[in-house]
Amino acid sequence: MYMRTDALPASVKDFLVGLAGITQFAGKFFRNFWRPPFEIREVFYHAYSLGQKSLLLVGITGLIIGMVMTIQMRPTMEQFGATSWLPAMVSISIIREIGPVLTALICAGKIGSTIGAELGSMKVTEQIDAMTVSGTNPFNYLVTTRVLAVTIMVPLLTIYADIIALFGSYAAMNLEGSVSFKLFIDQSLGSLLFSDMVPALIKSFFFGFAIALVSCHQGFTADRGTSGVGKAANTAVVISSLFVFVIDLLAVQITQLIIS
Amino acid sequence: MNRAIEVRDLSKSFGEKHILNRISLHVQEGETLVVLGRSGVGKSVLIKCMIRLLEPDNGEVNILNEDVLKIPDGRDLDKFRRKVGFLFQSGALYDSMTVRENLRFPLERQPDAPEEEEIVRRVEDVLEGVGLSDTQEKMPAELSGGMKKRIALARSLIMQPEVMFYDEPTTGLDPITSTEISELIREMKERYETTSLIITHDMECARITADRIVMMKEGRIAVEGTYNELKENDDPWIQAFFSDSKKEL
Repeated sequence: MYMRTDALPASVKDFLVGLAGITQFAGKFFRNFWRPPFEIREVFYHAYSLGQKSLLLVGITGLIIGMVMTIQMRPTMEQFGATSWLPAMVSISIIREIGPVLTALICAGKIGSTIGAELGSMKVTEQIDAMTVSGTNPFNYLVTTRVLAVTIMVPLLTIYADIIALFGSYAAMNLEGSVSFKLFIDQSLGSLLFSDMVPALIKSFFFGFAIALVSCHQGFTADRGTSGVGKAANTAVVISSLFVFVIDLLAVQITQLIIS
Repeated sequence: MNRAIEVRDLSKSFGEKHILNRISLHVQEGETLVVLGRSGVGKSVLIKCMIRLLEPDNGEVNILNEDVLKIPDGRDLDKFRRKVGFLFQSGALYDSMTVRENLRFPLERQPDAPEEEEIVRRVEDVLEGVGLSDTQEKMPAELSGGMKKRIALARSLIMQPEVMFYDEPTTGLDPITSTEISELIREMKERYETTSLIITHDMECARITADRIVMMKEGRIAVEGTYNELKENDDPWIQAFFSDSKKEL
């Protein structure tokens, strides 16, 4: 049974068309993934370039979040006489949820807008068409490389953010009172389980994949003109951030199912 | 003489707007055909359909004995496109790469890519051909409009194409540079013995480069002839191109 599309509101229709476009784009990525030439040097270049650009922002955000969580949780934990549990609570929250999601959101903003604007401007200035007519494969060179690079870099940035956030938490613990570094590490890491770390890392790969795929899609389908470039960059950030939350929700449900 | 390009009944619409209306034309091997017409008449759409940057609605395109519209997308289409060069209106140089990298890019990505020494030789050869041997390490942003067009031409020619398409090669250039680019196109055609199809509304470019001219009107070919034949035609619409050739039509 088919539904008449003209019965749908324009916004719903646009959303569905966009989703179909991204799905097709993902299909094209997997088809092109196996097709030579393999631009390995470009993958490393983008991994370094995009990762390095986000390093400072991810680090600062991780440090602040680690400190803020510790400072805000402390009074409540003190009320229950459970201050010694604070490092464990902070580390579980950061490694399971806050680290991966926050890093992904920063990458969606920073990397997503960069990719959307780069590819969008290449599209509107006919550089992508120039690659196409020269018989090269612009998809492999521009999209496959960036998707692979970001899929690799987001989990690495997440681990980096987690470590910095734990340092932030340690610093905040020592603002009021004195905790040795060894005790802090023992308490925070000792309470972590395999099931806390692995699902978080796996979902980071999916976050990276979604951010890069959505951003490349927006750039590749940019309209003609400079306003199209701005729109591509902006939409890349908005849609990839939305994808991060949707993937996170799915990941939590799947993890719960597997654990239980 | 064989026909290197043959277009039959090519149509293309965008929604309700009919851009190409069953257009037919041909270009003989080694010939330069200029397609003239006002802005927005569908000249660029025509060559983009011929190289499958746009998919036409109907018609047939035969280039170098290949039925272009029936070539499967993917490796086969890429293989065909390597025999064809395309100069974009904007030049479309890759702005994150140096001139040398721009020129090497298509060569390095062929399935049967030449040896490094051959790549270096061909880069130097095409740059010398367009008179810009000393620009290898420059970025596109450091080049003038005319230099960008020359490098874009060099990038197309480095693949040694049998057929060249030019989309408004002199648009946006001053009259002196326009003439230089037109003369360069003619020189390159003689040097590489390519068949060429040039889209333009610049009569000076048409005078310098064309063996034959076709004029487009309302999505169809309206008139055909040599530069001199058209110049002597009394039709006011044709004469408008000659009387005010430097003005944006």
